[in-house]
Formats: sequence, C-alpha cells, structure tokens
Amino acid sequence: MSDPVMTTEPAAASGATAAVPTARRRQVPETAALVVVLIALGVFFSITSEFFLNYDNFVNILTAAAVTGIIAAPATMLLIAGQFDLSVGSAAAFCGAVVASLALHNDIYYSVFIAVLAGIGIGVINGFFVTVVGINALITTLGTLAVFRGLTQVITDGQTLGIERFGWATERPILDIPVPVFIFAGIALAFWFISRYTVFGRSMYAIGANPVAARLNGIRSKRIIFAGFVLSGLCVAIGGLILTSQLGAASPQAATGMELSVVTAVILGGASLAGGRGAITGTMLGLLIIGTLNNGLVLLNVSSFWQTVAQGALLIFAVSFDQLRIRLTSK
Amino acid sequence: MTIEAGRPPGRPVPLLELRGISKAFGAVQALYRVDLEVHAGEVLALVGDNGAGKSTLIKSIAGIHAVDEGEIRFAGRRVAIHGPKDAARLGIEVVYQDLALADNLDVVQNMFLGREEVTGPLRALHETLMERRARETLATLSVTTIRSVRRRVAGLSGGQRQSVAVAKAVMWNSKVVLLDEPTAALGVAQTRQVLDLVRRLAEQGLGVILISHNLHDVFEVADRITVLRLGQNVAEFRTSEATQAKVVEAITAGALSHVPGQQEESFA
Repeated sequence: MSDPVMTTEPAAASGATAAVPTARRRQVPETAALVVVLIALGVFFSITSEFFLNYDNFVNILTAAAVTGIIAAPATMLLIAGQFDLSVGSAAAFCGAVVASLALHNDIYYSVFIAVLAGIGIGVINGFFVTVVGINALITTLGTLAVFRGLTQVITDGQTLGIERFGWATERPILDIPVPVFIFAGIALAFWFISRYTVFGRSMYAIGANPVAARLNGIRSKRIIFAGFVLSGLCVAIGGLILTSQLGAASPQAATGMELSVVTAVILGGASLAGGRGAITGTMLGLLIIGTLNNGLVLLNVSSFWQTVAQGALLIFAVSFDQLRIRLTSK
Repeated sequence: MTIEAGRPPGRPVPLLELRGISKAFGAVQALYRVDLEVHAGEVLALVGDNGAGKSTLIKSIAGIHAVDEGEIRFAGRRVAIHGPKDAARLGIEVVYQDLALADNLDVVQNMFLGREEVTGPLRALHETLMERRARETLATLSVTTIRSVRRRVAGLSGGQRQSVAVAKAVMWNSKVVLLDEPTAALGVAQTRQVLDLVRRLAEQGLGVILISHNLHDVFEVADRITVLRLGQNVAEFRTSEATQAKVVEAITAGALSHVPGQQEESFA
C-alpha cells in the first residue's frame, strides 16, 4: 500500500516545484488548526484532571471513538460527494439486533454473516432511493433512520437481547489495545487510500464539486454514489457488531444519535456541507477532538447530559466555521 | 450555399459529418434535419441566435443527448455515439460553455477527470504520469500562462481555465474538437489567447467546430460558417467570401425549410 504513495510524493515535489508550496500553503492551516485545538484540549484536561494524561486513558479515548470512526470514514466519502447518511445509528442497532436474535438459535458465524448482509442491504436501499428514485439523501436516510430504529424494536421486542460468547471486541491482543481500535485503524487507512489515490475517490470529489462537470466527463455519478452508500452500510454493520460485542447484548437504543457524532466529526474535519471538500485525515482529527472532549468531561465529572449539549454546540461551531471558510475562499 | 448537392469529386471525406440530425425535447423540436461537416485542419464556426440549437447539436455529437433521427459519420464510417466515452473513443472532444471543470481539483486532476491513469495492483492513481502528460500537452499548445499544473482551477483566471479545458480536450489524440462559446466570459487579452489556441488546433490537423455569438471572433478564426436558426440549417458561408451583415441576416431571418408548428398541425 505504501508503494504508490512513495512513487507519487517525490515526483510531485520535484515535478511541480512551483505547485507544491501553494497546495501546501492552503491545506496545512486547516489541519494545523485541528491539531492545535486537539493539543489545547489535551493540555487543558491534563491540567484540570489527574486522570487524563496516561496511556490507559488514551486507549480509552481511541476505544470510545472506534465505532464512530469506522462509520465516519465512509460518511466522509459520501459528504465529499455531497451526500448524507443519517441512518447509520439505526442501521448499526438493527445489525446488532439481527446478530443477537439469530445467534439465539443459529451458528454465530452464520448470524454475523447475515448481520453484515443486513448492513449492506440498508446501504443498497439508501443508494437505490437516492440514485435510482432520485430522492434527496437527507430525506431518504431520515426515513430509513426511523424505519430501522422501528424494526430494531420489533426484532428485540423493545428489550435488550443478550448474546453469548460474542466478546471478541473486548479482547486486547496487542499493547492492551482492544480489537475495535485495530479495525478502526484499518478502515481509516483503507478509506484514506481510496479517497486520495483511486479513481473512485477522485470521482467523488468531482461529483461533490460540480455534478454537471462530472457527468460531462463521463463519470457515472449514480453508480459511484450508490457504491458510497453500500460502503457506508458495510461499515455500519461492522460498527453494529462491535457495539453488540462490547455490550454483550443488542439494545434497541444502541447507537442512538450516532449520526450526530458522525456528522460533527466529518464537518469538524473540514468537509463541506456543500460537497467537494473534506479528507479522511481531517475527519480522524475531528473524531479525536470530540473523543477527547467527551473523555475529559467525564473525567471532570460533568454530567453526560452536558456532553450532548457540548456535542451539539460543536456541530454548530463546525458548520459556522465551514460557512466562514466558504466566504473567505470564494473571495 | 446548398450542401445537398453531393460532394464534388476529389474533395476529401469529412472527418465528421452529420446528416439529417433531428432531436425533440417533448413538443420542442430542438434540431430538425441538420447537416454539418468538418474537415481536418479546418475551423468551422457554428453560429445562431439563442435557442437555435447549437448547444443541443454539440451535446448530440458528444453523446449526451441521443438523436431521434439522422446519422453521424466519422471519417466516412457511420457511428453510434451513446455517451461521452463513445465520443472520446472516436477522438471527438468537447469543451463546454460552463467549462466542465471541478473547482476543487487541480489542473492535472481536471485534465484527466473521468480518464485517470492508474498503476499497480491497487489501481492507484498514477500522478507522475498524469502530471507529465498534462505538462506536455500544455507545452504543445504553447500555453504559457499556467505556471503550475498543481494549482486548483478555482484560482485560475477565465482565460487560464479555458486553456485548461481546451488542453484537456486535445490530450487524447483527439481528431475533432468542439468548442462551445469559448470566449463568452473572457476579456480582450484572454480572448486573444483562446483564439490563437483555436487556430493552433486546426494547424495541428484537428477538425475544430467553434460555437460563438461573437461574429468578430468567428471571422477571425473560422474557415467556414454554418448558420442555425430555430434548429435548422439556414446558410453556409466561406469566411473569405462572407460579410458580417450577410451572416447576421441569416441568423435573424434565414429561410426555414420547415415552419415550427407545421408538423403538429398536420397531425391534428
């Protein structure tokens, strides 16, 4: 995977000597701003809480961010193409309910397989209504958000459904780091590669910036957006399985409000609501900022109700920042 | 003035030839039996008032619109064009009025948009190759105004953007280039740049179809002028033999072979 990166970087540097500085000058401040915010939060919580600055707590932050991150990676790609998936929380809970209810009477591998298919299926449904029927993604996925939350309650009968011998996501194979963090890292890396170094990723940027140009250049926009939703569904299924494993049960209320966390991380990371811009690295930084904030607030004994307030405020802040950026760059 | 008389012997086969192209959008007859031909090394200007069907014709050639009737011949061979990729495969490239550039991407990324070069088992984008080819193409066209091919096109001037759009079109061993109002939004110096570029394309042996409202530009670069009015051919001139007054007259009052509405009435 490192090979194409190695070959392009030096060439870009030597070939376009005039270009690289301009490109960097534009991109660095954005990511740098996020890094500064992250460090500032880290310093603040290190001073205010004696429990913040240690290895175990960092692992905690990453673990808490893992599922959101797994779902935020494809969501970044979708938003770059100008699309939303609000159904992620419900869909994750639904996949969890599917695996837990099937596992009562079936082989666990079979149950997991069906749950993953369910996630992909939800992606197919979203993709179908957005690209084939032509309904706005916001409305489509708001609909599927309700539908799959409801179906989750139907499957679980509104009760938490326990699952036996499904604790894989709580295992810590290396360096005391739990499995979901590794999955998160793998998925983030895969999407980073896809967004930067593949035709698929490049097409998503073009679709988001100028759908007409994309079409005139022969890009099959609908097919690509459809694939984006399916990828989102797949990652949501993985997220749902992790949540179910961590809890040892499928809860009908699992991952409620996940869409808020995901959208906040993606927008905070520099993606624009208007489409056409954003990056996986930015989203990951956004995610770490949210994770650190939540973690720090818990350590400071701030009520979890206030965390929800903080998250909502952060979303509005991030979107305002995006608007400001649009106004400044359009000059 | 008529082009129905058949081809005089000894005249080469046109690179691109349209015969009797018709296209309707619902009740609107956008094109009605339009004929058109362009030869290698020639600039053909396609002029007409708003709504004359110029852009529809271009989009039909590019495969964006399917035509209802008529045939397209490329180098004498009848072809079917079902999409932009079919057109590109034949060597037909279009530079659109709205430029079809993605502002968030740089010059190289735009020039290869939809046709990126990939490498390796992961089919990763081959940035070095694309960058080199983009530079070469810009150099062939003597485009010196773009200093950095890694600049986002959002930061380029209108003339630079148009140069990128043209360079993008000729990079693919193209044989016919269609330009839709390439100078519409440009200043004087930038218009100059683009017109020079158009002339250079023809000198390199390409067939060029130029759509323009600006007769001054047309008279400057075109070898022949075809006039569309209400979706029909109404006149054709050699630039050297025409005057602006004659062309304007054809644009505004050229005789129609088919009166719009007539067909519908005969059915009623």
